Order: sequence, then C-alpha cells, then structure tokens
Amino acid sequence: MLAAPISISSLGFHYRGGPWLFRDLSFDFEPGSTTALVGPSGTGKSTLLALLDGTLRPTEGAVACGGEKRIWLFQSPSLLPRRTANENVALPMIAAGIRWRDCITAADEYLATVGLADVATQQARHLSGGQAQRVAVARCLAARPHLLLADEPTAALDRMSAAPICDSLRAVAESGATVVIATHDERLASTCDRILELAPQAS
Amino acid sequence: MRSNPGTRASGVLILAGRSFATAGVWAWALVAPVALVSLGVAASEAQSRQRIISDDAQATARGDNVLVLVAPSAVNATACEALNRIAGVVTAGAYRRTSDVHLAQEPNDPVPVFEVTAGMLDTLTLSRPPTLGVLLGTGLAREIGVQPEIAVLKEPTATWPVDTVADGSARIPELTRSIMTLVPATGLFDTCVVEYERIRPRDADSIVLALEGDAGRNVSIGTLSGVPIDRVVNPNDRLLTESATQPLAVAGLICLLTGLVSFRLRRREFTVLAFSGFGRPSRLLIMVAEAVPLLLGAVATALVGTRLLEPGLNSRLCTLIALRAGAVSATLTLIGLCIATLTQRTRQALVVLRDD
Repeated sequence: MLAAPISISSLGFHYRGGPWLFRDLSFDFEPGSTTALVGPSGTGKSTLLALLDGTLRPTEGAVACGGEKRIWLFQSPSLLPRRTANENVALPMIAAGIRWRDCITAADEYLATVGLADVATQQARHLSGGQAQRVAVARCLAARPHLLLADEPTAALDRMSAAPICDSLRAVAESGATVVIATHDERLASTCDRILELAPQAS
Repeated sequence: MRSNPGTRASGVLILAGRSFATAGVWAWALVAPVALVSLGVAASEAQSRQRIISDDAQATARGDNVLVLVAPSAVNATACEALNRIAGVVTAGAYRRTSDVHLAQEPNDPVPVFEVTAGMLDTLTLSRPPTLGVLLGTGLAREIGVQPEIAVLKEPTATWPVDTVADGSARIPELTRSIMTLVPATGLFDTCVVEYERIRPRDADSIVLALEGDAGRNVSIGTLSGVPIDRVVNPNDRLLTESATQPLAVAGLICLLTGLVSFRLRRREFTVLAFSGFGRPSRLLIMVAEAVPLLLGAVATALVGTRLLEPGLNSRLCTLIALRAGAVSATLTLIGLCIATLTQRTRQALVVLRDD
C-alpha cells in the first residue's frame, strides 16, 4: 500500500534573523522510492527533513504530506542501550498496541531482514556502531512508516559498515515508505532512486 | 497482528518492568529523600518523646503516677474502658475540668449528680492529683452529706477532701481562675485521669490512640501531674505541627527537583520512546509503573528507618509517618517528572537525538 506522494512547492526557509537556506524549492518525493538530499554543510538538508516532518514551518511555500506516520533515523542509532536488539525493534509495535509476544516475534523477523538475526537478544550497548544502526533501521521497518527521514545515517560508520545500511534503507522503501536521506555519503546517495542537490544560496 | 489500547498498556507495563531493574536513578530519587525524611521524623519523634520521659521523671520524683489527659469535649465511657485495657494502665477515669464556675453543681440544677465511669470511681480512690480541686455546689454538698469548708467527698466511694462548697455568692473571680470542678457528667468528659505503672513512650501512645479511637477528636496530653507537656498527640495535628513538617517540606522540594533531574538524566531514553511512537500518556504510564514499586520500597525504607531510630514508636504512628513521607516524596517526584515530560517539545526532542 503506497501513500500519496510528498510534495514541496515553492518552498523557502530561513531561521529568524538568518539568511535564506533555500527558496522556491519544488519537488515530489515518491512513495516506495529513496531520495538523497546532498549538498555542502549549511545548505539546509537537515532543515528540509524537519520541514517534511512538520517540526519546522516553512517561511514560504508549502509541504503536502500524504501519510501521517513519520519516523526518523539519525546519525547515532538512538537505541535504548540496556534493552535487547529485538526489544528496541519492537518499540513502535508496542506503542501501536500489539501483543508483546507478537512484537518480539515480528522484531526478530525484521532483524533477519537487515541481516542481524544472530544479535536479536543482545543488549544494544554491546552492538557495534554498524549493527546498532541496522537495528535502528529494522525499528524503522517495524514502524511501517509512510515517511522515513534519515539524517546522515552512515556518517559515523566506515564503508564496510555503511554498505548494509544502504540495503536496509532500500528494504524500508520497498515496504512502501517514502525514504528521504540527508547525506554526504556519495556511495549511499548513489544507491538512491533520486538525488536532490541543495546548493548554497547567494547572499 | 491485532492492536488495541489494552495490549498497548500491557506492553508499556512490561517495558516498564524491564527498565525498572536498570532505573537506578529512580531508586536513588525516591528512596534516599524518603530515608532522609524518616530520619527527620524519627528525630522529631525522639525529641518530643524525650520531653515526655523527662516530664515523667520529674513527676516520678514527686511520687506521682497519675497522668492527666485533656480531651476537650470528647472522652466518653467507652474511651475510658479502652484505656483500662492498655498494658501498664492501672486504672483510668474521666471527669470534667473547667474554670467556669457555672458548671459547678447548683442547688436547683436538674442535671443528675455523679454519673461517672467505673474507671473514674477507681481513680477517685487514689491520692488526688495536685492540680485537681474539688468544688461542690451547696445543693450537692447537702445531698451527699458534706459540710462547707470541711467536707470530705464520701459518695459513692471517693475519699477526696472537698476544697470548696460554692453557693451563689461563691462565684468569685478567684474560684473561676483556680478551681477545677467536679460536675455531673452525663456522657462526655473533657479530662481523663490515668494511673499507670510506669510510663513508657509506647504506653503513652497507646493511651492517646485509645482516646482517639473511641472519642474521636481533639485529644491531647495536657498535663502530667500539673506539669504541662508541650505535645499534641492528635495524629493530624502532630504530623502537621511537630512531626518533621519542615524536613518533609524540604525533602518534598528535593524530590520535585530530583524528578526533574531524573527526567533530564533519562531524557534521551524517553526521547527515543517518543520517536518510536509512544505518546505522552504512554510515557507517563511507564514512569508511574516504574514508580509504584519504588514507592513501596520508599515507604518500607521509611518504616524500617523510623523503627530502627525510634524502637518504642507506636506501630500505627510509625506507619502513618512512613506512608506520609513515602506518599509526599513519590507524588512530588512524579509531579516533577510529569512537568518535565509534558513540557518537552518535539523540536527539543529532535535536537536531543540529532546532537547525540
């Protein structure tokens, strides 16, 4: 089930008293696809993610978001360190009111999807950075979001560890979500369906 | 997979149960202040009890063994019977003590004479407490056969000398100031006289609790053989006025701030939960579920602490103090946590995780 596309039209934003980060930006983020936001630091990649999330309001223009369920993936995996990997993955399902046992079973399956079936019962604090980030991606899968906003998900990882993240994000998109990734990682960007490059605004 | 609010709540509770073992901050936040409170309470208790023992020592030195309890308008025969059942109490009775001479028996007063309890009759056979003066109205003196100025109260079994027989002209200011009056009493007495073997803190509390339980209100130990004891023993009054209210208030404030700090320390965890789909009600439920066992632990700590510091403290008072300390501490900690949770904005939470 694909949600409606997320559209931004004539979008412009600047923080109070600051310069414009971008203006007159229009784009459609297609469900089931991955889009990479690239560009130098300070061009507003993370800000655009926050605008898509609704955490920030546009200075001008509009964001039309079809699905309500959004989830974030950060540079740091944001796991609960003393819970097991499958409990971390199960969190969105627990919040949705699914039975604990079903949540854990499903979480194990999501972990298998990202290639981490063998660490399901390990506490998150004992996982490597790459493993922890993949657990976080599995949690995104479990949340079954309409929109996944990934902010530099591979920035803290080496190339070897980053590769499975790319595959895992692809898996989230294949589940029907719109995946938007702000990244400096060219390899990750190259695996995305579309690339939106933000350029510095002339002052 | 089916979902409903009930299973969400049970999931949240399981989650809370699993995190409880690792929530050392909470344990510190709740138990430590309550332990401090119990220390304060126990110190206060010990202090006021020391006063009683000290006064008792003075009374013992004078050869007294009669405790006079003032219970304004609220001691009845049932209370006296309860007092007589307390260990260490030889006998207990009640009379009305007043400085108002108008309550003395008057010749034409229709109120029946000397309706006193059995305990009172026993007490009247003891040596009279030095604070107790006996004033009879002339009508009563005539009826029971005593003479003004020299009379001895004979009936029914008492042998106390009568200090004054007051007729109408005897209502002079001196009397109103200095004489306590035995008056007919048809139900309620305002003073109890208790003869005891040896006063101990536990006995004193038992006496007071017997009065509370049966008479209901405004009971206080007033004088011990005429020496005022500055101690209010109505549980509500005492807990509010003497039992470490200031330490409790300070500890409550500490708990409130600790609640805020606890959330601050666990902010990342609750932010992760928020971004995993747990709404504010679910997050608050997790906190409450974690707090309940700790509340019980806090009360137990207070109970044990108070018991250790003040072994003679009446168990009912001990429990009251512990529950009060535990409830205040836990409630204020939770209030602090709720304030912290409800005021956390999504944008701030986003920053927490992004800057992690």
